[in-house]
Amino acid sequence: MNTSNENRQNNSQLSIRNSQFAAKQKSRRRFLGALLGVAGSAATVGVFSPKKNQKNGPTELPLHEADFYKPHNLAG
Amino acid sequence: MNDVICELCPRYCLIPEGGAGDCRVRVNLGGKLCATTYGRPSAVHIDPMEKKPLYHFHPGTPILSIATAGCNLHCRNCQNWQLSQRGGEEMERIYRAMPTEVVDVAIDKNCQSIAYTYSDPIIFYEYVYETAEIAKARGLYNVFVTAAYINKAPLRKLCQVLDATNTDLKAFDDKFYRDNCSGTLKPVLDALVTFREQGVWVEVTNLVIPTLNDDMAMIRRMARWIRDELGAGTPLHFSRYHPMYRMRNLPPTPTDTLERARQEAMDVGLHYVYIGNLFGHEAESTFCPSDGTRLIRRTGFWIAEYNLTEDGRCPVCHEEIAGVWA
Repeated sequence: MNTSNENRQNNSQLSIRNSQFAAKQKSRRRFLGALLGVAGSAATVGVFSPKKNQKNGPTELPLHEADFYKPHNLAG
Repeated sequence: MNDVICELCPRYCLIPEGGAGDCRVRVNLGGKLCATTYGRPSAVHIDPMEKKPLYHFHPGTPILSIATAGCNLHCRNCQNWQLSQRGGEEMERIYRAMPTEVVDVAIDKNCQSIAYTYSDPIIFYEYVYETAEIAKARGLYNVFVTAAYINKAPLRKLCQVLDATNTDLKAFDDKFYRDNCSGTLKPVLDALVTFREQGVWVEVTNLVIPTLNDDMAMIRRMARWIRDELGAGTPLHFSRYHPMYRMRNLPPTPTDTLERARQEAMDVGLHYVYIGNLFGHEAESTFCPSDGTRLIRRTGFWIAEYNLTEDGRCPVCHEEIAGVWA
């Protein structure tokens, strides 16, 4: 009897562990799914949203902020 | 019908209301022609004079150099295409720089001269003219680096405020202009003559592109024309081509081709013929046409040795060297 009770107890503990493991797995999958979703959305937004200068035009600066001595490769 | 015709260059663009000319920056706003890049340069640098290149005009001095977006030519090999083949709104940055501010900055940075350069300054004509007028009144020199595809009347007016030009003569061949630049040769030759007639110091640059404009007979014809129309003392710069923009299929110009072109031009009688874009070549230096003395030794854009007398003569034979030296 005892043995069968112990077995039953063990089985029920095993079943609890299994269900906990399954729940964890499910939670992990959901988390990873959500993460992938967020990353995918961010990438989509990044790819399709206009760049700053396309949206607002060129950056305008006062002349004195020019880097006059910066090396450049313009001819002439 | 609120169309306008831009009479600045030989294209004579007919611009409908709200539209832009071929240069992208001269637009028709309510039946009025407007230059959208006035006071809005996208490139502002201080360069050595030798970079324009001007070798016989105040050598070794710094020059404030400005350019806006746009161009009235569309050369397939353009080295500055990111600036010249775009409209102002496509630039990454622009500076707010009205003419007086440009002149103030030039003086503040100890520049004796202002260059209108990089793209073709013809397309920001009004900005050039008004800046140059103020600069001249305040004792600065004005340098126009151009392909000279411009009509005579606006050029004559502009010459009143210009001191020097380096003009790009792309080839001595109308077909080359039509096929590679969407322009024509004659207006450029006319403009060069106008510069000379109006007393503007002229230096000419010819970019030698393998197989397209490196025919020695053509180079000889070009050198003869320069000698006869502009004078034997006109400096001519043969510049090395590097694959660029929409013409990446050709190799850089071989040194030997540039040297042969230089020899042809000197044989025709031009006194000062240089090779550019080829760092460290002996033909970057100026030699006395009379006795061969090396007068100015250059390394790239830098002067390594200067032997001209104060009044611009050879120190050995006292030959007068054409140029604006002081």
